[in-house]
Amino acid sequence: MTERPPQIWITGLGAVSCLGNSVEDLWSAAADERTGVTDGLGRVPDDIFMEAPANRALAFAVHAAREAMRHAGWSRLNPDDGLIVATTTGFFLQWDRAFSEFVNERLPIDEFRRDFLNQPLMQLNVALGKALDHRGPSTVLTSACSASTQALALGAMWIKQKRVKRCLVAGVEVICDLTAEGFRSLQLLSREPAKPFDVARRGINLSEGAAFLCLESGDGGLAAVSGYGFSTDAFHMTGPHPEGHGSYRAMNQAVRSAGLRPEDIDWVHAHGTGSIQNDMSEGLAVKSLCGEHRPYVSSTKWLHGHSLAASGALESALVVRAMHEGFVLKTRGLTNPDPQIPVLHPKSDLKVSPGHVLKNTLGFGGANASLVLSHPRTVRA
Amino acid sequence: MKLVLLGHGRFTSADLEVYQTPPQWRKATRNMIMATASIERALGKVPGFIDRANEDTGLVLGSSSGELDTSSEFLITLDRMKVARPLLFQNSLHNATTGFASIHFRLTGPTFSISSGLQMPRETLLMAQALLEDGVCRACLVTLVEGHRLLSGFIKESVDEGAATVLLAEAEFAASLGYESTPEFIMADWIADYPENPATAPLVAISGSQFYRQIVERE
Repeated sequence: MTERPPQIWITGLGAVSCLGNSVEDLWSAAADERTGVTDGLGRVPDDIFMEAPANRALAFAVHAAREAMRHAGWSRLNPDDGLIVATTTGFFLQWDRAFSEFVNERLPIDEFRRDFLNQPLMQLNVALGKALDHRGPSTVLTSACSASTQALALGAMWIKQKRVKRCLVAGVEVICDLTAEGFRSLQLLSREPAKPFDVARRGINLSEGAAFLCLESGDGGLAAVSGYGFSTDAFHMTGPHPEGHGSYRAMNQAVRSAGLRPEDIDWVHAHGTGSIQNDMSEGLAVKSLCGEHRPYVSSTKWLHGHSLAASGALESALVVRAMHEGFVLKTRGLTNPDPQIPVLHPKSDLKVSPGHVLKNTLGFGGANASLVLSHPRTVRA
Repeated sequence: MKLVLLGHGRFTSADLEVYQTPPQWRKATRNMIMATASIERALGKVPGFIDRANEDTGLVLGSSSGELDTSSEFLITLDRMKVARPLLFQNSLHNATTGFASIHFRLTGPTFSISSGLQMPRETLLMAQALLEDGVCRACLVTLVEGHRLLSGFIKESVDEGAATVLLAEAEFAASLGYESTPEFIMADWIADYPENPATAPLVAISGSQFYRQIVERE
């Protein structure tokens, strides 16, 4: 008889964002309808730490990791625990500064080499592993905005396949010149807080932070990772497929792999960046998936901005918290829904307890990833 | 699960000097060209495979240097000319090569980009194995690519570049497509870490990897 794969549970959450240094801060801001975006960017305020951190990425990561582990009751990471980090910037702030000084002949080559050694995304993982005294399996996913959604799914696979016993999964991102100026050059940034799905949406708010989720098998937890799906648009380097074909396939796989039907989904927590193309593509994909069944669809990017590789983890943490508070969150910043996007927007935060939530991400390079997160009451023993 | 090796290919920086780069690749980076050409060579061993198994085929692409050469170009242009060039930005993302290859081959299955330093060969292969075991895909391209011409120039070291690809599949799936007498893929023979070289760290020479040497042996 085939052994039934174990149920994978999220048992701890941690977050540092432009809204504060805990999941509680994130949730309070959502409840108070308070955005962390200023002048179009969602920067983590320095004063949430005791002092301005010398290495922002590492400070965000260590703080959020410890919060998640405390929440899950993990006193330490063991050699048979995994660590998966998703990032597109990692230690880029350090490298970026050293690089600029070097090419302007203000930094000798020996010093540049010293800082250069800190450059790759992997170095965040190495430093985090040291800070947490982690010696088990570890990797870094860099699939743009879908990276931490992929990481959560990979963490679940590692546990199911017995590569690890438990897994700490992270998304970490910092705002640096490369991303801030780069997104500006693509004319994707909005100076105002994002307006996902609004007819007047103008673009995204780049943000930074870290979110960590503890995964393990067992009898229960905060929410189950009950399905996942991935696809690639193979269409454009930065733009999504205009009709959302790739996103549709990722969502469809996620729902099927959870053993569900689209009509079982109560809430689609959308990628919903507030860019003209993303929201249209994703809305059409949801419509293709759900047909006449219309789950609530909303985005929370107005609150916390778009933290790129960290977005899937950060928003999953928020979804799990909302699930436990018994809410479906409305889209903040949405006042005049785009009639071309055929989805059901909750008009207010709804006091209903969602059973199954579909969490979407769409990334540059056409990488789409979706997760199904399920309330414990819906998961069969 | 039994895995089989359906195809393999590699591409070196020397190949790049003589390669007839297609005109539609005019915006491509060195990593994009090397990775895509190595995938092309791997797929060349199984003509028509992607047409028959597109959605079932994943791509896991690992790179330590990633697109830091392009990030450097972006930052230099920004610093000196005060211009942020969108093409350099889109090409500077670590997963840009994965996106480029997926567009070229019209790969619509799962694509993953990773950066795991010296553990890259191991982590890319184990990632592919995890996806195959989970049933996320039934065949998987695994590509390592290391292009760092600009970066190695900055630190005045010569570090070879290149890309290497294997096409793995579940044995049963391969057989269902008519690939019945393909060799089993023995993971242990391929997954050794990149050799450590403090003189060139963090840049890694792809030709030093067991993954790369296994392909050379099969040519």
